[in-house]
Amino acid sequence: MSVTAGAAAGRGAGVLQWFVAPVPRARLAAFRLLVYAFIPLEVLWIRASVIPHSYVPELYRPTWLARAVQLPPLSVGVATALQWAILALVVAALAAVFLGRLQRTTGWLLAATFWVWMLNSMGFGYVSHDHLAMMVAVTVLPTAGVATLHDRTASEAAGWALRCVQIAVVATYFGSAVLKTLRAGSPAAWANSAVFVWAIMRRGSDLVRWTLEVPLLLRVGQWGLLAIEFAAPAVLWLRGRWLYLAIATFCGFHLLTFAALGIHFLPTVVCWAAFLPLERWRTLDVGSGSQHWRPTDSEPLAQGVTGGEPPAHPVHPRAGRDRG
Amino acid sequence: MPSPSALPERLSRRSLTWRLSCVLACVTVLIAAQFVDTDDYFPLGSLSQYGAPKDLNGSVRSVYLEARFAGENAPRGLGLSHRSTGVARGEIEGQLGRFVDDPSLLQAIADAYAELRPDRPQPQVLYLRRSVQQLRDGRVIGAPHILTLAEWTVQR
Repeated sequence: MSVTAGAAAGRGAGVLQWFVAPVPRARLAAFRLLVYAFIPLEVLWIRASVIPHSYVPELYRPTWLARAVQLPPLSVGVATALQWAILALVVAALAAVFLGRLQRTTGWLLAATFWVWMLNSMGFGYVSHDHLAMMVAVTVLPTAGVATLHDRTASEAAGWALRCVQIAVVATYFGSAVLKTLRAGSPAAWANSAVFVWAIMRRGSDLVRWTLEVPLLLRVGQWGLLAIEFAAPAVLWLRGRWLYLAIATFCGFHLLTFAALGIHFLPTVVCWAAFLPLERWRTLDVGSGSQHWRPTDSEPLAQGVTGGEPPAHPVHPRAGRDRG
Repeated sequence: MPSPSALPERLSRRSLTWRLSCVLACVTVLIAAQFVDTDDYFPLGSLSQYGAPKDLNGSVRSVYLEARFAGENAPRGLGLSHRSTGVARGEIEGQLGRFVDDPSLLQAIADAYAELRPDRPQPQVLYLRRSVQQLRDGRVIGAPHILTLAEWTVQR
């Protein structure tokens, strides 16, 4: 192999490795706790529409996947049973994280029931796009097998699962900016239009209705939104305080839209945690003497926080074994 | 704190292949959905919330439901929410054409209201309406213009 071909192959392998950059399994376990603990909020509040939907089966307009698996409209009894099943599986999946057992089984069962719930919820003429990352998260989390909060072993399977969630999070914003551009013909055509006026007139809170008198301010806001949406993929390569600043910016934006329009985007906000070194929560214990975590030479490299390149370690003895 | 393991757990070539294939397939569908502009491929559909530009000199349209109750001459607003009518406003707007083509679909909303709100007065006639508010240079001008999109006398 020539030097050039060898270098190209090395770059290709590097790109592939980026998708599976190892992270501590403890990070995945902590992210599982976060996502699974959030699901009751989904079925009881954010997407609680499934049981009410069973009173209007005539209005069922299933999306492609629901049609493909021939998912029918649900009766009140079935929808209620499904809700209880999801809540029970959440308890089981959370317990599985703490016990270090049956994580794949509980994770897949929870994912399957949650998919049915969400396909129904989105099957009545309105699809909200704040669930892309959450649906990816519940689907990929079981693939990583057993992970406990005390296990600092770096894992490519855990790294891939979290990377998928990260990609879904940034795709939510970048894809939205692309669609705005496609619909309007150019970024400027969208940003200079009256979208915020329209949104505030339809569902604006008293907190922001005054802005209808200041259309220029709303246009500036539209430019700002479009800019951060287009810039979102950069977050995949940010590190340290710049990463935290980016996360705070996006979460701050959602706080603003919640106050202004009642739109919270919480499922996506929760998934921003996939960028964080969640395994560090243990170092923040009172009395631990250390508020700041620093990677050591032997510390598994962390996606999105401490570095992206995989360590040049020998293959772990358990490599390739399915665990769970 | 337990010391981190020095040996990262690697994926086999097969595990790596299916994982990367899944990413590629999903990203492809998501990109295609933006160009086709469809949300049919949930959760990989178009990310269309507030995606359409609005003309600064155009209009703001909003759909709502009104109902006439027994003993009342004038119709009044009937809130569209999952707890009251089984579907929310966005869902009605998402299949507005069906209601315009077939106003009898409003019967489903009346039936849902009867089951979900049995303790409240029940509507005799439902009106699906749209308010249209004109903009000039991004500012609202004048009173809203009201259109009736569908009307249905409730069957009991």
